[in-house]
Amino acid sequence: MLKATLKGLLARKLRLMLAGLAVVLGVTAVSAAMVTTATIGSGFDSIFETTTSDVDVSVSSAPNVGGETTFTPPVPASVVEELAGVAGIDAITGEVSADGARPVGADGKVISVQGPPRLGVAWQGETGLVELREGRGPTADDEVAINAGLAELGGYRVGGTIDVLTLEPRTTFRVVGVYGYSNGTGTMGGSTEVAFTEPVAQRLMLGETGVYSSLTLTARDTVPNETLRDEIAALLGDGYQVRTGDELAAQTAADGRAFLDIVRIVLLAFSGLSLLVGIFLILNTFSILVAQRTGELALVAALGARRRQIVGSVLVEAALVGVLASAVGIGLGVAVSTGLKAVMEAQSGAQLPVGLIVPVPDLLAAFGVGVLVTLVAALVPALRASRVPPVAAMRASAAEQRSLTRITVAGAVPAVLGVAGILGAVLDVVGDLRWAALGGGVVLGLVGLALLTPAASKVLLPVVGRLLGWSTPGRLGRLNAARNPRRTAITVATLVVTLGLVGGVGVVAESLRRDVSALVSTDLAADLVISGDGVSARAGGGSGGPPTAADGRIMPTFEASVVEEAAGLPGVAGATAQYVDTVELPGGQSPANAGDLSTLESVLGLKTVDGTLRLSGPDEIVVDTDTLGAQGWAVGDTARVATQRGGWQEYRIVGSYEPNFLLTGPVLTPEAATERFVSALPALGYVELAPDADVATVKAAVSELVADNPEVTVADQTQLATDSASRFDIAEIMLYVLLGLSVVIGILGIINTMALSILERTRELGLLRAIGMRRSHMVHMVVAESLVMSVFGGLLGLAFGGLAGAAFVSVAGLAELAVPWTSLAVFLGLAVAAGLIAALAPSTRAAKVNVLAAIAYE
Amino acid sequence: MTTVTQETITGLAARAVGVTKAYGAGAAAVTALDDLSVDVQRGRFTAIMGPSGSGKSTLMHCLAGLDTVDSGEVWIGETRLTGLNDKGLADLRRNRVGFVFQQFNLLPTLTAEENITLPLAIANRKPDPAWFDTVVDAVGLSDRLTHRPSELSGGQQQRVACARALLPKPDVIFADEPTGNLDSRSGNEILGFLSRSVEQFHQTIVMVTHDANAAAYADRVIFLLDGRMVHELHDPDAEAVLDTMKALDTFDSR
Repeated sequence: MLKATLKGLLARKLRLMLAGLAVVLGVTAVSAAMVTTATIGSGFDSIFETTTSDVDVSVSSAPNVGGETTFTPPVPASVVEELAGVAGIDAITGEVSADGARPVGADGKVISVQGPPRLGVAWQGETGLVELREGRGPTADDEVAINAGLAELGGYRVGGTIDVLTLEPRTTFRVVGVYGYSNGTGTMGGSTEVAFTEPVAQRLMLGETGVYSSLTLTARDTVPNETLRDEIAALLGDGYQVRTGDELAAQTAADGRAFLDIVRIVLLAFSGLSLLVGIFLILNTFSILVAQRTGELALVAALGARRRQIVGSVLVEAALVGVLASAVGIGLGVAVSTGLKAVMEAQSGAQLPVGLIVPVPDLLAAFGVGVLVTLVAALVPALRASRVPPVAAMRASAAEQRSLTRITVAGAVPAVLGVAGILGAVLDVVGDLRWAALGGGVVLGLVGLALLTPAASKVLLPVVGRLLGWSTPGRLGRLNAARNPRRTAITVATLVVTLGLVGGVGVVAESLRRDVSALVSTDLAADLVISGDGVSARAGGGSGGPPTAADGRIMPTFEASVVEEAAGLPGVAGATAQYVDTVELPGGQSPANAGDLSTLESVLGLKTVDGTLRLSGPDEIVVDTDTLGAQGWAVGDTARVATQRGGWQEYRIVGSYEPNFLLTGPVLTPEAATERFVSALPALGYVELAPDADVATVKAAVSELVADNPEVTVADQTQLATDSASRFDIAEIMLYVLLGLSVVIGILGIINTMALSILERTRELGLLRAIGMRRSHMVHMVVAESLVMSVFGGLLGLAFGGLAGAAFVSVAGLAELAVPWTSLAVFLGLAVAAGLIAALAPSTRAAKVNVLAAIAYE
Repeated sequence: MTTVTQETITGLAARAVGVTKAYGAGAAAVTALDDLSVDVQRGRFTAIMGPSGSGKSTLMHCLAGLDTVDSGEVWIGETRLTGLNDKGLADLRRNRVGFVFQQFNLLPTLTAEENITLPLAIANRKPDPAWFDTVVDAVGLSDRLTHRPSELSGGQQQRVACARALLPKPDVIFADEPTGNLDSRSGNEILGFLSRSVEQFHQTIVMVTHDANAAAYADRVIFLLDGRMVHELHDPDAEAVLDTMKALDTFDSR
């Protein structure tokens, strides 16, 4: 039996290759994700082990807000004296090193690196790690040394100048030295470094002199690091985190690796999608192969093969395809990883001090998944093969038409339940369960749709076909497409799923975008907004609310004087500034803002709910009603709020406001913000124009005020609305690319089915040629069949996805249901293109059918 | 051979002139047709007979423009097939030639009526309703027009094929073993219909068969051996055909 299987396999090489392709792609993506993550991860580990090799124990302040990646307040120099008496300490060094030293490049733009930090540090001379390559260390306040990676990125030379943005506005320094590291690299994991003299570094990076970002301790030889760590932790108490060098390295490396997650998620998502599609493709191929071989299988059964043997023979075939495809996929995955590593090294300028790491257990798992997917997909066809009765061998051809009643009834149940769930959610009869009802409804609906597709094809294919072809060859093609509803259903399944996702995501994204733009323009009374790159795009934060600095990175800011000067410009009625940060409340993190409420109130359209919106001192706040409710506070209460620099303090709540899209959370005075927020500078400025002022003229004048700050731009309302709405773009585009790829796989499915159908119908094609169809007619007929199927699949998917998306929009309570007709049309066009491409080879083949051979009797 | 000239007055529906056709190459080459010349008279029912490998199917395929010849010429009416391109041949088959095959004659996706009108539909032509009714009545399918092939018996399917061949009023209908897959009653119905269409509608029919009974329906029977015409009979009965077949080996094909 095995020998017969192998021979059969060789005879169907091309077909099985097509089936295996999706598995190859899926396994490629999985293994690329594994290898890339392992390689880059281990590269980072190795880099940060070097960085912290001199550190036995490190002391830094515990952050006031949030987890470990956020801002940590500086360590006062007094702590050094406090520790001086500890017997186990050999030496103490105060370090200044913080993210947020943004060098301005020769083109006037800030030099950006993807992922790694842009550090500003205090020069400590050549340590074991740092080695000067050229020049010397900084000795005066206007001197800096920079690392070789930055020198290369920005083209800086010793003797030249460099402009740097820090907590303070743009400042120019003289470059007096360029340094590298003891491991021979010019950058640590791609980070750029600017080394100032210690007081300058303290002022620019930490906000005040006489403080350090952390202390590095060297233990005496006899004292284990852990012992020293515990002793110091006990001595300093809760306000500090004390870690050994190894712990610090692990933490730093973990932070650095965070961006790897994105790569990993994209690759895994793609692999999931292509494996899902692969299931359909394999299911289809094997179903058709089995149907084609009905006679052969019946003969084998008649000769006495047991059912188990027949199932086995089909599964062995599938297993071989799976093994081969998975092996190829892993090979390709490793190759892709090599490419990805090169791309990342080029992008970040970081050389990874490791070769390609191949995590064997992970790859074995990927291999197993590939094989398993193939086997599972082939199981149904295999079981069907075993049910072929021996008498089928004696019949001329097996009756392929099985009744659709059972499958339709089986599909109607989940479809009805799904629709009920969705309706329940939309009509809000299920209360708090509405999201569950919607999700469950969509999943059930999809299952129902899959099972109902064969029946739907009977009704819809003629309709679609009529739109596409009136000529006789077109009509014949349409009839052929409707011939085997089950096969058509499996063939178009990929397109249905893909375009379903496109439709759903498209509708939701477009509606969200419309919603956000609308909110921005209703809530914002200002004509111009001054903001850093990415601040206005983040306006509204993750779930509404103002931009926050929660990611711990320094937000682009500008001098408060810019707003004052703007207020004095001709044509300007008023200008005000908004300071932005994240604070900790007893119930968790919250965005926090500061500004002159007398002006902010009108610009942001704030509505007073209770008390007053006028603050008379740094210890008074106003809070939005949502936060009040969540915290269980009331106006007049004294509330505890932890700011990034100020830590836990008590504030009196003097008023409350209705939260709106641009402002939520506690609002403090500008004076409090200057002292207690991470950045003492405003992140947003609003400018209102006099009634007769020209927007363009004033915008140009305001832009002039921030001309020296490349991170800050002036936007009018339209731009702001577009910016705010654009935050959905990247996710959407990424998804579209993924789905585009799965359309490609969908093409394979159609090619497969078409090719097999052509083969099955050779005689018919011969007859058609004999009675006078031209070659062009044959091409037309096959193209029509392919197009009808792809358009049917596309429409079905888009319709389902669109409706599911509309349900989501309704349940989410978005103001407006917006349908992105253009994107949907483009994707339907893609489906049409898929149909055309898929028809290329089969139609050529049909046109070339040899009439005589086709009509020859056996 | 001597009787051919009598019929030239009524014109020729098809003819082969010095046609040679070989398959394969070198030592394995098989000569299917060997310098063969045949005339098919208009309005007559011609049968081609011969043992397996005598070239009878090849002759029909060449006459019908389904296959090309190595040398010689093939004509349908006044049109020379030799040298026509694929498109020209396809159009000729559609408009001027009808086919009835042994099996797989119909498209399973179309109804009987749609199958009958298919060649016209491909050419974007509408059938003449009166003629359509005449043809359908003649094959006795008036009450089966909306059925699909799978709902028809073998004989009925073959009658649909006959109606399809007849509807465009082609120069020639080629029938390749049209009764080969049928029981004798259905077979006789088909043969009766074919000879009636010659008598009543003056249709020209060329039929390849190895069945003496079927050949007996023809006006003229041509016997092939080794790619050459070795004998012919006019208005024969089954016995005469059978006798000729039995004696075929004794004819010298050289």
